[in-house]
Amino acid sequence: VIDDVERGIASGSVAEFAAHFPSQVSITLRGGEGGTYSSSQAYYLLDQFFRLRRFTGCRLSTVGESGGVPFATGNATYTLKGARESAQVYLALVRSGDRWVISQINIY
Amino acid sequence: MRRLIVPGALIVLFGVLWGWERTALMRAEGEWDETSAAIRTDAERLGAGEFQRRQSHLYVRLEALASRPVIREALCGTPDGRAAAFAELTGGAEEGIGLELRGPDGGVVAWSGMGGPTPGLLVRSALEGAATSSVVKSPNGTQLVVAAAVPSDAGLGGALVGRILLSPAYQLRNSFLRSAGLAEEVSARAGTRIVYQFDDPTHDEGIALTGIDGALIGYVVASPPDRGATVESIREEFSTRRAVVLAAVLLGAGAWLVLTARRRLSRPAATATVVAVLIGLRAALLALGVPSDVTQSGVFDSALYASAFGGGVARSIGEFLITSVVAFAVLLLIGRLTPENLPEAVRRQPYPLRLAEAGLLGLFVMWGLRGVAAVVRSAVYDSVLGVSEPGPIMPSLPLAALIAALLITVLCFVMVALRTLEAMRQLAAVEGSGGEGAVIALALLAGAALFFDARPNPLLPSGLRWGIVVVLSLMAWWKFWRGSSFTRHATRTLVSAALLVPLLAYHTDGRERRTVETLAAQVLRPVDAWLTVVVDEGLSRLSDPGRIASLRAWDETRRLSAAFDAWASSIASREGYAAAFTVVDTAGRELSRFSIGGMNAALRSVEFELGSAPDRLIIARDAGSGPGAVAVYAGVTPLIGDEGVIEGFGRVLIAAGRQSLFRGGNPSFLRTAGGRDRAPEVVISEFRDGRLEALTEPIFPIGHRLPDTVRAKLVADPASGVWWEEEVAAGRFETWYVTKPGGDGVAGLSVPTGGSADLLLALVRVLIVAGSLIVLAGAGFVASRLLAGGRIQVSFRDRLLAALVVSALVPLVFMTVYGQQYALDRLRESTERALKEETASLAERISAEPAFSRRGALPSDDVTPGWVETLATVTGTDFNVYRDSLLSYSSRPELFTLGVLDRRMPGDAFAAVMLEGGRFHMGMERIGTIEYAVGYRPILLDGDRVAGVVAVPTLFRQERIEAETARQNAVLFGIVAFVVLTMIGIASFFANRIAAPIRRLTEATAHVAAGNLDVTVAGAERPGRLAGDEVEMLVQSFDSMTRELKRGRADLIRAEREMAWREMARQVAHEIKNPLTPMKLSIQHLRQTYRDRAPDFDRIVEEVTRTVGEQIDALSRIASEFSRYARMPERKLARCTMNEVLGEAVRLFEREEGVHFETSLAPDLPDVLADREELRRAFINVIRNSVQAMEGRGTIDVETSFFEGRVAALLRDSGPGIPEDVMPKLFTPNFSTKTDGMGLGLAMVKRMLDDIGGTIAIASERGKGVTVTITLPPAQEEARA
Repeated sequence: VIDDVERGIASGSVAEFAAHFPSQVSITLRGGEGGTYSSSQAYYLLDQFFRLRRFTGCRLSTVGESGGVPFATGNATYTLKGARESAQVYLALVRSGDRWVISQINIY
Repeated sequence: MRRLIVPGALIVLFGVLWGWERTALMRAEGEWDETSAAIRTDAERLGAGEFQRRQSHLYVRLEALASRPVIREALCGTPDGRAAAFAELTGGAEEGIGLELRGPDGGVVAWSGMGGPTPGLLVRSALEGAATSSVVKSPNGTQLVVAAAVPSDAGLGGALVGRILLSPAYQLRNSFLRSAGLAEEVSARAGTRIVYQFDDPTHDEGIALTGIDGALIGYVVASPPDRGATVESIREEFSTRRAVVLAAVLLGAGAWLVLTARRRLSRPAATATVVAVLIGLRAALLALGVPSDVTQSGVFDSALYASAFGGGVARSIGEFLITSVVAFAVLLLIGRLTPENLPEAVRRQPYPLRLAEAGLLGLFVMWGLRGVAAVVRSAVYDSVLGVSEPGPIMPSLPLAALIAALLITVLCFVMVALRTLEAMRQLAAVEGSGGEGAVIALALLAGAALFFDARPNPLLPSGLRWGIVVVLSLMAWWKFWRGSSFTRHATRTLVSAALLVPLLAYHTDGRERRTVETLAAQVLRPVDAWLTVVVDEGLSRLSDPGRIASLRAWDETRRLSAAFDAWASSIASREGYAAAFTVVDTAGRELSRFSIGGMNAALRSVEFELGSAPDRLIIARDAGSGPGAVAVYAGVTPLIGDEGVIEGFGRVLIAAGRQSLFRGGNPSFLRTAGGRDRAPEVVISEFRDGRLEALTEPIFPIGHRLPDTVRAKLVADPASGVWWEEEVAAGRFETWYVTKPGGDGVAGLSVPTGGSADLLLALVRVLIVAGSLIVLAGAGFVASRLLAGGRIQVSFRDRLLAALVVSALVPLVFMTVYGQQYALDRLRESTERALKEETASLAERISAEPAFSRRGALPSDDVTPGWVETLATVTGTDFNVYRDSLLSYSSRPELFTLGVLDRRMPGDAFAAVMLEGGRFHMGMERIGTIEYAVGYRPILLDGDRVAGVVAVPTLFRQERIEAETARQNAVLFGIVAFVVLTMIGIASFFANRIAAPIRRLTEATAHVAAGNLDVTVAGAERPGRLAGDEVEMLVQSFDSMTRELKRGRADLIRAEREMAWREMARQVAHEIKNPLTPMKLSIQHLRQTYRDRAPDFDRIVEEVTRTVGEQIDALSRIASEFSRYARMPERKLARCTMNEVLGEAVRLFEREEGVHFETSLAPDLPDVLADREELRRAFINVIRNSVQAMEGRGTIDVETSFFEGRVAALLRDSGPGIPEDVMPKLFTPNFSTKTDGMGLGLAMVKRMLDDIGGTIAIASERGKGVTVTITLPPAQEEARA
């Protein structure tokens, strides 16, 4: 899951990791958008977020586990309106049946 | 050649776009320096323009104020004059503008809005009559200050000073603060970052900014743009342009195709073309991403709603609405083409096969219902908008659009379902018709519902399914809504609204529960990794080398603000967490600290644990106890200087999930910055041993017993939770009970539930949207009719009904508005009452403070003393204390430190309490998007000496009050809706009663006009019903007149008949004479040539025999025509459909070159009783007349309708019309304006219609055409047998 997210953010393609969304996912995005959304909304929200910015890289450098919740943090780089910027990425997973799904994804 | 114009133009258009893009890309890639310079220059111009525009706006505002007499009079300094000036400045205040009125001595006389430093030079210049401006630094950021002169008649002039914030001291975007600043706003538009520089007057870059007086006050400088990003941005921009242009071209092509198809193709082919165009356009727009990818805002914002339905058909509210409208249009068109009756071949199938088909159709209806439920579920679960969410009764635009899309979707289902159910009835009918078909079809439908019941699905509960089945069956088979097409659709829309609301309510309830369960999992989670990351990020901000260097700076201000600066740039600030950032030196002394969120005590208690650590350390602790306890995430990091030496330690503490401006304000759990999710207001409670120990809000009493059922279920399965609904004094609550981690008691998350009020709220909103859709559709219908040159016919009954409904609505609207205002007034009164009590209590306590009593006055400009914090904690109320007009103390000093709040007392409060001697004042203030009330009360010393003013802000449980107000409004509107619907029912009843005799009179008049004098009106009324009534007298007069007319007509007919026969005999003779003459001449000619032994006798014989033969044919034709008129074949009456017969006649002429038919056939017309062949001939006759009159070129409008109890066909041509002198003779036998006719056609049509109870009316308008209206009574039910 973490690899898929890393690859998806680096290429600006939410489709790479959309399959790991549960029915409700918590999202916080740079620019103010944030909250708990359905998987469908999450897909389109991230899709719009990636369309507005051209992501050029993502590295989830820290992978850990906290209180039974696996998480990963790292940085992503992108360009927005002619300026190169970087964002902090936070990803938390949760067990759903026999697989891990994304419970929270923050791109700050 | 002309055909090439459009394709050529398109090729040129796309060529230009392509060339434009290539040029832009080549310039960006090949001439980057010039491009970069141009982008910077444009950005700087934009920045300078925006600055000047704001400065001018401010100056114009000051000039306008300066001319007001009340401002000039205030310069005298009298309390009344000052109070009036305060009112003037406050009354017209714009958000974000601060105003000050300065007296002749430069002192402040009155003010409103934001304050800040004012350069003395500006005030002096203004007092001397010159307007100037400057840029100053204030605690809340950089301000533009403009000063203008206020001339005075008495020679004592003043100055008006205005200020606006150019850039805030912080770059925050969270729940409390949304200031972006001018530079950020312009940068977002300009495509590169710009900076305003006001500190360095010798700057040689950028564009200069000048003040009102023309003096240089700064520069705007743009950063060089990034080359790769610029190229990418150009590509994106042109990609969007191409998509928009292509979409516009496709829409234009679609419109052209539709118009052409309607003009040139038969009706079915044209309709099929329109359907294909609509579906094709929809698919094309989705593929192009227009408009969602172009706008991504408003109703096209996926953050509001986005569904996973295929192809993005519902990726936003706007797309969903477009899809539903297209689906509705397609279904409507297909429905018009499809006859209501099944084809004969289907009806002749074996009965068992028909039953099987009907059963399958039943399953199809149920499957469709499930699809609708899935759409509604998606609208609830995939959306942040709630139909029953507390708020204004009138839905916002996005919510209204979502409801409209849902309504149209349900309406589509209702339309298809009704047709399908009718088909089921026909299939199930034993003998092809009759009520038994409906009964058997209902049984089959019930079977299909049971089939779905056997496979339960969360999309649609069984009860709802059965309810909807009953409603649809009633609609399909008990056609109570019979009426015009508009009435039918309006009724179906209202029924769709009634079906939609329970579906919405069902899924909304499910969604709320799911959200609370998710919240419970997050609230009870032992450690939150995200908050650990937030703390870690905050520590990184504190460890920034530049910030560490500032600790050594000689500038104390810079050192003290280090913590604030680190916080302002951290995630913690953007998320709006209650947090504390601290910098201490190696000895543990506090160098800089900033905290926000009112959790000081909790944060301090954990901070002591952190101490000093050689490496970064993050811990999580519970502060406090019970459910009010808050998890605090704390971290410490060494601050290492350039030489690798530890220079101090940075600490960051965050209270999990807490965002609260003031004590007593509701915490919004887990609600992130700018989030638009529907996080409900949750009260958390904690139970031990089955008894309530503590809770975040007192909705249950301490010791409240955990319901036995809940306890038993949790004991049986500790891993799962239990939902439980309880009615307590605070209202009705739904609680999600879960066993706490480690089995340590039970936690409950309670949300208020509106119950039936929520359902009512949803119903009212859906009805508002349904009503709006009906009105819009009606307006569209009227507009299209008027544009087409047609007339709108509104019956007397409908006009009367409309008048009665409007009469009922007007007072109800006033009542409703008053009711809402009353509710708001009550809310304001209750808030004011609470604030009066709190300020009175605080004012008394403050005046009794020992320090206060000892010194006799409030100490000034002190840091927040301990007694303020203690008093705020004890009373549970945050407060501020002002002396004169400036802040002295605050229990929330960070709000002032931050510059969120102004240290100066608001002008309206100062005027009310200090100038006018008021003992209490309540004003409204705003932070970001949060509006709150503040109560002000003077603190009195020695009886009546005002020593200060205490101010208490309150969010007054905004969400709870809004929810309650919304529910009250829903009940109010629900009652109003009920009253309105009842009034419509009563009005309809009385309108029918009053209009019935008028309608019968109208119908009778039409009959009489059409020649039927057997009609009577009085017979339809009960004896004596209208005794003495004007209407009865009218009815009696009418009947009497009809009888007289009938008698006169009989005499006339007799005379006419005789005259007609005479005329006919004369005509017959005349007609016969016509051929006889050439015959006679030919015979004479033949005889003469025979006598003369003419050499060409053979040729002449041939010629004469041909002429005689032709004349004999003419005689024969004349004889046939007269014979047909005199003796019609035996008539075979049968039920037939007007639309079908008329359609057959129209199709005969559709191939006529130059003649175009515009058909509008009303669906579901009742059958008529007529000889099908005869009726067809009648229509052919009328259409042929029109075609001939138009000389083969023009349009014939063909319409059918069911009007005033008769089936009507209207044929309107665009010919030259009929001369007035010809009109009376149209139905006279043997009259014709044509050279090749006998003039019997219309006479025969009229005679046939007269015989079967029909009418024909002809209206003509010279130069515009002729309208022929044929009406027939509907076939009676018994005629079917």
